[in-house]
Amino acid sequence: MKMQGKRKAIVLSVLGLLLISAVFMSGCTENGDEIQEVTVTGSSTVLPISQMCAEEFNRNNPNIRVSVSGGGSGYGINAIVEGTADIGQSSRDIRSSEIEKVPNVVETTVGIDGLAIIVSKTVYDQGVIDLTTQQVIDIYSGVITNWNQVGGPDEDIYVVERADTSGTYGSFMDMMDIDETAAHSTQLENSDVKRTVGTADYAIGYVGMGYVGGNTPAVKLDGVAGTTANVLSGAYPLQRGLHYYTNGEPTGAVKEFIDFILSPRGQEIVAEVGFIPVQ
Amino acid sequence: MISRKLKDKMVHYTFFGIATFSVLIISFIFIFLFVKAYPAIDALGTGLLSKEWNISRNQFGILPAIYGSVFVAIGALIVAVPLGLGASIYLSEIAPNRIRMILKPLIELLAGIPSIVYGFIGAILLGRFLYDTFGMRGPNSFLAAILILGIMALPIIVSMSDDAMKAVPKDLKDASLALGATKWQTIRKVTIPAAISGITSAVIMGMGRAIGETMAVMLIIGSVMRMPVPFFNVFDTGNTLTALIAVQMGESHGIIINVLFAAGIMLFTIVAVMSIISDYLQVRTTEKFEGKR
Repeated sequence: MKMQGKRKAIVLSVLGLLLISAVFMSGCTENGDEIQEVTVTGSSTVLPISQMCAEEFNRNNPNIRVSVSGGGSGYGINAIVEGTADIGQSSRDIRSSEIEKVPNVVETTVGIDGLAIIVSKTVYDQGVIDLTTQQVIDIYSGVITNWNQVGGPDEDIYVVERADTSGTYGSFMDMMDIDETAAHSTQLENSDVKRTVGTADYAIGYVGMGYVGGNTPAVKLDGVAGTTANVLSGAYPLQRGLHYYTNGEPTGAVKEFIDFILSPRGQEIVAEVGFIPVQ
Repeated sequence: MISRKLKDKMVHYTFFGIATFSVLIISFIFIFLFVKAYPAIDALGTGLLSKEWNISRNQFGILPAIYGSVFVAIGALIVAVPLGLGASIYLSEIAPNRIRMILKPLIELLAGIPSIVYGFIGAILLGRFLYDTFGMRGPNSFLAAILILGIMALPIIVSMSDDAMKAVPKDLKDASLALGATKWQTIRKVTIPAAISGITSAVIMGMGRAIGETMAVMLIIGSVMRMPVPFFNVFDTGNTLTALIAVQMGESHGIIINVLFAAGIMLFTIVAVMSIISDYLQVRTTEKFEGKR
């Protein structure tokens, strides 16, 4: 009985000590005020670029700490407006309504992403290998509903899109100049769009160029294939800049980080994670 | 040495504190929900309950998701209640003990399968199967969601109604059999009426699981903010409140977040209304079957 009470007291005091030390620890940092913090947040598309670059950058610059998080393009731009982050990453261009809130916003393009129109393998094999921009617009706005209207089999088209809060959705709709879709399925991520289109036989969807292949081949758009060369030459129209937005010209540690991404090594990382370098 | 009286008091206040704390947590969640949802309710008003959803036009009507949630929950019950009741009648009244010992743990094991696994099976296998069988447009549909949710609600319904029927005193059943009633008559006229309140709560719990399920539904429902056409079309795609919140949350900001909190309130309201209705039904059925008027 007495032993038990003693043990309980020990456990309680250890727990108490842990709690107290946790509270105090959270208050201090390693060299006090010497470390400069840079926060980057926003688009999940740009996230891998920022993460990989920050990892290497932090290793080489012990006095700067870049911390990266996701949340979506709109969230990233909003973070610049509210001043909760130093850099807002975005996979779509900033809107004029957003510029009104941060008139001094500076855009730095760190990479380029091509959007591919993918279709189910079955429909691709049955002859749908090339679509015009107008046909894609008509399919997404519900004017064209059967594959035989675009030279394919007599089957209903299953239209897959991304969630309407995503930057990819935003840039696709901007490129196609439509503001409402007749989609049958809305998916969370690029990989979900790919899975849904791949599971069906007569589906269409759009994903980042890195996701093309397997049972979801990409069609040509207006006769142009979505290759790196065609994106760089501007011949392939479905492309978008991946941007870093800052409130005013980047300075100090923020500038150092952005300079690193635009350096040859940084651009190498951009290519490694599946995007097209800007330099 | 602490006096016995003091010890008793300490126990009393400790547990009072713990109980108060739990209630406080729940109240804070409610308050937080309403505070976060208020900007959306304030800005959109009844527009929140319309069926027009288009972010670029600032239309945030969550009616399709409300309808979808209710639709899949009712559909899942239509699948799960007959199966679940049948299975529990067999388990508790008909099956020999040996078979019961094998079957019951197996059915309960169904409840332990993580929902993402159900969703994955639904998206890859069931979706494709329904797609081929019914010649649907694509692998996502209300039907796939309803079937998967029905299967997910099944173990709860089986297990709880089995327990309820097992708890009916053996004297009652024996009396019925002794009066010359067949086994089926006894089940129908004695066991089920006596266990009805337990069976009703089993169905409520099953419905709770169906309406609150997110992961599995998100993978198979299609998540489009449109009403099915016609409204009972199980082959169409749609959305539920849970899937709406899960799909939109990651990349949303500004008023959309408030709209999602409003969707959360709606979900909570639906569950509350359903449980009030079921409570009422439970009282009514208990009165009817137990002869208390």
